[in-house]
Amino acid sequence: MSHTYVAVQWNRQKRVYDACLATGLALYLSLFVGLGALENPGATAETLAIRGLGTAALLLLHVILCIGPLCRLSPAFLPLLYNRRHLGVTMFALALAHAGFALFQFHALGDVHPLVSVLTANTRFASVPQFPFEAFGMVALAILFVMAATSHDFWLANLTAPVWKTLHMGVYVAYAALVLHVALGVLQDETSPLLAGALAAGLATVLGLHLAAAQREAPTDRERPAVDDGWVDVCAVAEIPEKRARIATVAGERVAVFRYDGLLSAVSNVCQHQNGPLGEGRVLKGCITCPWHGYQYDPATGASPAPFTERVPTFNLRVRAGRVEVHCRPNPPGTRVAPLKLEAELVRPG
Amino acid sequence: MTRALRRRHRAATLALALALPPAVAVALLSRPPEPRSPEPLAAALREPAAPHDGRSVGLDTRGQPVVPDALVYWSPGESDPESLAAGSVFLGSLPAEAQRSYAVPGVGAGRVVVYSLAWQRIVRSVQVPAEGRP
Repeated sequence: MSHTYVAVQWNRQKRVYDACLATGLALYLSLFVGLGALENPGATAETLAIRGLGTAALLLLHVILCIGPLCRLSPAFLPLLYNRRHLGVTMFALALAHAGFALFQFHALGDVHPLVSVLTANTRFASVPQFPFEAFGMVALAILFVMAATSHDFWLANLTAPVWKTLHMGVYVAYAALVLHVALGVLQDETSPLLAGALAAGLATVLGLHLAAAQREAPTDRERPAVDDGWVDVCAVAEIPEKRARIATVAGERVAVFRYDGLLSAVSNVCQHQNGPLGEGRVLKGCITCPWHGYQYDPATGASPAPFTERVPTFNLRVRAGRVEVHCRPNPPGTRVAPLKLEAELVRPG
Repeated sequence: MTRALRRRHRAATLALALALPPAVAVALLSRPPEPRSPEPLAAALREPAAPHDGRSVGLDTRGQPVVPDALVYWSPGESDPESLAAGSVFLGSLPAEAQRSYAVPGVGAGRVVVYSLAWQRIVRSVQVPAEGRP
């Protein structure tokens, strides 16, 4: 957790994650260059490197964009989300290397500065097949640079999670720019249906998964009306699994009601670290544990155990006729609310 | 995420879903019917505007299809038009939609060679006589 800033908080999961990433990339690049050299013996090493790095970056970006919605659809994918930022930084490094090789091969040998050359060599903005597609690549690279540079928890803590998340939603602009970079660039010369089909399949996968996840999330965001002086009906006690939570939207934001050891507590569903969904986590060793990165909170106070300092708002709650009601007004973050003790007949596993 | 962020996220996804597939479709449908190969482009490159203007040669690509990453070389003497001779001198890049002059070293005959780095082959080659000869 974030009581102090260190470069990277390495642990076994991160090492395994990064080892898998490095192995996968090495395999992909070796196969691409090897098969590319066999199929096109005349291709130079630079050309193979440009294409290999470019396709690896694009493929990795698709993986990155699919992880979020996959985790919304199934918790089985949560381990992929844990270290997603390393994927993002790696993807930026691949894209930068691709751009560097391309700049050198295509623009560094003339009498014009390479960066001037890439911006002025082709100005056919009115033509679709001869559009200067490099511009889209440069836009994407600039966005990816900002995201990679601010990926560390230092920036997350200082910018605050909502600002940081908004900044990192620039990945969708970068994705659109990269898809156009490919469609208006290499696909204008390479007429193989395989390449166009692969791009279309990637686009369909990313958009399809996002739309499916959004559709699944929509009912949770439906506002629940107050039934009695600010109290909002959330669910039946029996609907909450032990050590887990039910999530409901109350007064414009999601609230997670946890059931644990015969007690009920309600806290904001939004983790202070990366705004992860606390209500999809579990109560482990007496603490609510965020499913994204393992940040923990005391269910009664919404505060992280010492020495950590994260705090989330808590909510008053009550049980009437076997149904849980939450008051719509949040308490200030870290405010203790005595957990509600369930009566014996309600303490059966849900 | 907070509800506001989720709304922004949904708006971004919806914008992508509505705008990106048509844009990609337009890009793919606008592709030339035949692969852009060097041969027709080589023929489309104009003769040097001033084949032997003092010791410079001119090339004009205005209104012509783009030859990607075209580089201009000077091969002194009589050389094979299909290959770049070992003693060739690099004169500069040849941008699209431009008229450029290139200074030619020496006064002897030689060959102006346009080489596409992207295609890794010669796309145009013009023999230039020695200075003072027709």
